[in-house]
Amino acid sequence: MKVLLHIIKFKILFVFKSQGNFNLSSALKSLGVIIVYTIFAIGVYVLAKNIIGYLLEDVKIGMYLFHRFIFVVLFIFFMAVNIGNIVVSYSTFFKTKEVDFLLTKPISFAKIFLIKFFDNFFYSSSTLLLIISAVIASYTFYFDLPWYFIPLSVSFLILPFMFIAGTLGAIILLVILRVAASFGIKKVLVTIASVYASATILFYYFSSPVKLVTKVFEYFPNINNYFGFLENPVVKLLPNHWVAEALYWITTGKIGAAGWYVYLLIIVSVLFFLFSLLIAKKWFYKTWLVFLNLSSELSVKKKNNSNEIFSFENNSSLKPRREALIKRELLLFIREPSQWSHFVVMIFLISIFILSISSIDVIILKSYDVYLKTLIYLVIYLFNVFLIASLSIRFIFPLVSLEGETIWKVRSAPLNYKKLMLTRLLIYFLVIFVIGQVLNFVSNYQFSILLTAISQLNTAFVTITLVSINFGMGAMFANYKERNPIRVASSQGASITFLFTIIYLVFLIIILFAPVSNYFYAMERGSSTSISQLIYTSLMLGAVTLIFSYLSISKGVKYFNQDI
Amino acid sequence: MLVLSNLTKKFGNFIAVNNINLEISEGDFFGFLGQNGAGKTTTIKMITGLYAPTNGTVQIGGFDIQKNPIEAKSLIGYIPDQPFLYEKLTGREFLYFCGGLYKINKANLKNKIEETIEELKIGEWVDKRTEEYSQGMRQRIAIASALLHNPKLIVVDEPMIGLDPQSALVVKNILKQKASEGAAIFMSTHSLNVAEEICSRIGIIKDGQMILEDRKEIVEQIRGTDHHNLESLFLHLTK
Repeated sequence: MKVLLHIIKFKILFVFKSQGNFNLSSALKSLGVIIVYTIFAIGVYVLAKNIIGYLLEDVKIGMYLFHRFIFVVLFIFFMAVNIGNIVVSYSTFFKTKEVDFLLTKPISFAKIFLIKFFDNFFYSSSTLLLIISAVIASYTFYFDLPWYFIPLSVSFLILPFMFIAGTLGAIILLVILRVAASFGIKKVLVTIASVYASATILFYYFSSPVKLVTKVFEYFPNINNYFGFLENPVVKLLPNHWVAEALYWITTGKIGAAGWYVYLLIIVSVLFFLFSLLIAKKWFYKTWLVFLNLSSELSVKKKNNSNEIFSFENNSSLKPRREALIKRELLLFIREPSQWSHFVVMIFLISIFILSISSIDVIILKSYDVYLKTLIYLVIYLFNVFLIASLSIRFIFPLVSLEGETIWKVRSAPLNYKKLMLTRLLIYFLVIFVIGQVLNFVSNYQFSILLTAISQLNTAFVTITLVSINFGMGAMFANYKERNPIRVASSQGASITFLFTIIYLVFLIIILFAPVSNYFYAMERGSSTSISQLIYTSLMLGAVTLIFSYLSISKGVKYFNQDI
Repeated sequence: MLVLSNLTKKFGNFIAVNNINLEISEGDFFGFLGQNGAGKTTTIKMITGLYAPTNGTVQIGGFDIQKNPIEAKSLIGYIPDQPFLYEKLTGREFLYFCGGLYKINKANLKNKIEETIEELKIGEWVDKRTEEYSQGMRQRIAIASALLHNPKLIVVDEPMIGLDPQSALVVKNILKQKASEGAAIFMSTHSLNVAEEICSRIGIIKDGQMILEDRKEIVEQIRGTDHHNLESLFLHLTK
């Protein structure tokens, strides 16, 4: 325990020291960060309160169904924290110099695990915790609960909930590596991926939000009359169910019933934590050795490079410099597990979204309320934008940082930095652009050809803007010493960029709401649909895109050009 | 080939390099000596364009590194003291990547890479990923990458760190050969023996200022005094 506290003390000291010397510039920067985070938290609070008000007062979904929605949203949070912890743990447990250093010291493996686990958990979950806390605050004040419900629920509901997801992630990672030693990493990864895919599909099968919404909307606008659709008993075993149930019973005044779920959450989180420590005690060192073996196996280069698609030795029609940059980028991406594995996970989640959204036609066809149609259109559109933003923050933001300490080679070479960065940016932009266009088409084609076409154009503008902002911000907050792209994408700079993205989403709602609802009004009345408003909006988006992209990219290149 | 004029670099109030003037011609092998923190690496970073000078200029082959960076950098081969490489690429892939940055055509590049691999004796492990390399291996790959485009100026920061005696000999010979072929070499080193052995000119920097910059002959004359070798002279000047 003494050793543990000693290490934690120095880690805290390191965090403070790494903030740099105190001066006016750093103070202003810190103040700016605090202001942005505060505005963001207030924004989430206001948005969540309005959504709660809308669902309960306008759509009148009733308390029961409202808490089913919370249950579904919490499942997404659970998966995000869980998968995030598996992926980030791989780097923090095994790939950091700190672990190499600690392993040479007389410290137990369980303690090393503990230090790195907390490091990992708070690093990768702090923004999510901020979002949930703001939502809890809006929930508290909407339902006139006492103010101290906020710290109590964050401490005894949300933290244990996230802790279960995090410890489960760490346990799964250790198990993967332990089992990989016997069966091979490929088989284990395929099995785990299949289990995750099946779990997600089963969750949506047992508690399908689409089925839920479809059933409920059969009773629209008298949704309060709906009570027939109950979830499968299997989902009652999930921690997100316990949180949703606890909130439901608290707001309906039955604290005793809620207490049972709080108790369950705390007990299970403690048990998971103890179990992770036990596994770490037995397996941490063994899995570290497995990691070393795997790294060594993976890095043994086959002598015959010519079979590789991106081999430098293959002839190419590209100019030498462009070829060198593109091939480097692709090789580094496919050989870095944290890059391709995260990409695969995100594509998997996007595919689930596409599958879900493709069956939403029932709702659109049956509902004739313009306001509701506008809302459905905007929610789907914003979700698309949110996915594009997630891809951008994960893969574009770390782009400059990933030049890494090898930057000496690029910076001392006779290169035009703007062309260099644009070449790199273009590779990722094209992938995100295609995903964005496919997403938009799949989720919009049921509205009308005209609206879909305009949405495609708007999505193109949005993709350019988000990619550019992430590039510029990534250059501004570049950290060439950080080798882990996931840590770069969840750094303070990335969080600020994410907050800007949220502001951009609000801007999109503001400029799209009136033209889209007017368009639906015109369609409903059978009058000739005027598209001029939609076109003006697209032009405005185009202008905003031009300004933001120019500023972000030119600033980004300028930052890249600074002393290193 | 290399002209430093009133070169100064400040970090806030701290002056890392203070008003350095220096000229190095083709074939010169310049040894740049100094204690830790004297300003050697900062000077090298300004020469290679990694830092922008606060005052003064760096001219390479007549091109100002700040005003004409592309022309100037195409003449430089830079070997840093800590040569970080892309860990997921093999040494050979890294060399191909570097050749591409200097626009060397594929056929020439293949030949040049094979030639350099042979010269530096790195064939045994050049096809392994660089994450497996020792410091010495990295150093040799960095040296190979700096020589691919036949640079007119080779800038080397502490070339012997991590090298075993055989590798050190290979590197010394290659650098000497490049100087004899007409390349100018600017080498920062802590190794006074190496400087004494292979440099034709020597400069000593202390607290950011050049305190000795002269031809080797003058150094030879100094040897006739109390300071019978470079080590003694260096210790005397930098104490």
